[in-house]
Amino acid sequence: MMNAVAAATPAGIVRRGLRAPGRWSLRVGLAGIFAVGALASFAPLVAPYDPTALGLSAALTPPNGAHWFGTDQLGRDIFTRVLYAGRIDLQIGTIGVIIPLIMGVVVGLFAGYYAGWPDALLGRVIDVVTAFPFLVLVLAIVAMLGPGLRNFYIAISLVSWVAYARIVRGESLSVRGRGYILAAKSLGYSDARIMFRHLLPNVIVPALVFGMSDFVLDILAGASLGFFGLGVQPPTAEWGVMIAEGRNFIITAPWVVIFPGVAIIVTSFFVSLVGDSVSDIVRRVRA
Amino acid sequence: MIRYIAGRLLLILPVLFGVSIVAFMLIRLIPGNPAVAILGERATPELIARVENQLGLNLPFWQQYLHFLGNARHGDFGASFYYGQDAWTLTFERIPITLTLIAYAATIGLVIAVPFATLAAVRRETVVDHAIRLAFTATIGIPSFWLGIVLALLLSVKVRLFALGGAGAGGFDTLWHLTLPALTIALHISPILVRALRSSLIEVMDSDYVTTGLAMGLRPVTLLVSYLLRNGLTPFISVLGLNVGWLIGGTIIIEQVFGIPGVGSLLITSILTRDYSIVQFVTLVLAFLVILVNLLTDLAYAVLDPRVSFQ
Repeated sequence: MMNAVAAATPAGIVRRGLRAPGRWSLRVGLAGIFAVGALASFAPLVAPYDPTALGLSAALTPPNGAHWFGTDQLGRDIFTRVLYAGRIDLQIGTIGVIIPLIMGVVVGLFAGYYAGWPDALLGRVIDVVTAFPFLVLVLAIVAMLGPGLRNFYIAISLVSWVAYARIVRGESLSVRGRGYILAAKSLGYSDARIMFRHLLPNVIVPALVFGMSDFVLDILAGASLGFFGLGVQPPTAEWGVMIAEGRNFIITAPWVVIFPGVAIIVTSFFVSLVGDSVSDIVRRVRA
Repeated sequence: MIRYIAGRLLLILPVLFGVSIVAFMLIRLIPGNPAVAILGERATPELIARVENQLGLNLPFWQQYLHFLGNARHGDFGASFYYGQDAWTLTFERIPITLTLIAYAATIGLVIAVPFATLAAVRRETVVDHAIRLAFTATIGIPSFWLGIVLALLLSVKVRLFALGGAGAGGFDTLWHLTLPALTIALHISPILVRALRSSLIEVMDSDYVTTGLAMGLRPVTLLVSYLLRNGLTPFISVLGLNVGWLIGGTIIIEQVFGIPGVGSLLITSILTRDYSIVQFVTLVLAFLVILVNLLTDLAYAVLDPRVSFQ
């Protein structure tokens, strides 16, 4: 019993995950994320060209030895731009998860720990925000605030925290009556200490698992906004922006559109792989 | 049953109220004076005063909201300065084509999901199952706008299988024009459908009556069609309802990519032309659509599963 309780915390999951036999999907996913992250972080060292260097004489060159992914309509090297774009898109995924995660976890902890009217209020807010299609509400908020990455982060934060709050609230409600919480209360610990030291580690895992799929959603949303000209602004390289720019040349030069799309798919695939295996492990630990 | 429906309807009221508040607040997110933003920098003071009055911007905040509700009661949600029409007419003209596209996409999504999910569930934890799950894990990260462009290139340009752009001239022509967009949306939602259907099928397969059926010597096909799929599809309907937001999000992007004159392309165009009243109204309408679909799925669930209605 003691072991089962300990294993549902993040540390327990990590220990279990490393020991689990045949967890190749977790390892492949982690290795993939590491590779994508390294390629993007060290883009200035890895990339063969300057991401904004124009080469009009070499515009729309098909993939070859000098330009692995070909060049775009302005003669810029697509491989280089895909790597540089990765920095922006990974940032979109990371910030798009972290801010809502923190907001949602704090609100969810409060509602779940105190129950009563704060919980009832949060329940109504969750119902309302989830009534809007995610992308529609993000688009509408960006429409009002104006295009750009900063406003996209504001929109994502206003919309996504609700998903985390819902998860943490549900978990907290089911844990708040457990023995160790009651014990901490009877020892006279402050509510803040109980919430963040005792409740948090035991309710955070499902929120972190959701964060993995949310990361993919955020990248897709960020790329969609970039595609419509509402997110990152050119000439900055971003995968969605690159696809939008290459769209008019799709018939004669499909590589301009293909490679940024593949970058999104590959990145999402590795993250989903890790998310799925972690949620499998969590399910087994809890069963 | 009637009590169940009445109860569900009553639960919706606070959500509708909240949704209207969010939609009301949207326009107030505009930095500066919304009336100036709506009309553009070169608007005359008289025009600005008129829009300020229409939005109730000179009133205290809570009165502005009542003003908004009062206007809404007459179907007055502002007008488009781009199309020169009111928000209501503009939006509802475009709803049928969007609903057709959504229904078409959901149907294709089912046609894709049911065989794969069934195969994965029946061959659980084998190579087949792993391959199907892996394939759909990869599918989830495909940006729908990219997929639309690539499919258009492959199936409309390289192989002239489908018409490209617009919604066609009605009837079969519309269906022909909508097939490629609907297929794109269907592929976009298929990972969620396959995953949900697979796990609900597995749950049914593990239940006692399936074991009994097998022990009695029922043919696997009989068991699959009349027991597994029938019982597995019921929870699946609620999954479809829960993910209608995901479906709508995909539809909006795809409408714009394929130039289909629906609500989605209206939303994107209005965002790009800063047609704020239209953005506000379309957002409100789409939220109502989600609420309506969720209500309908709950009711369908209650009808299909007699255990629900007696609660």
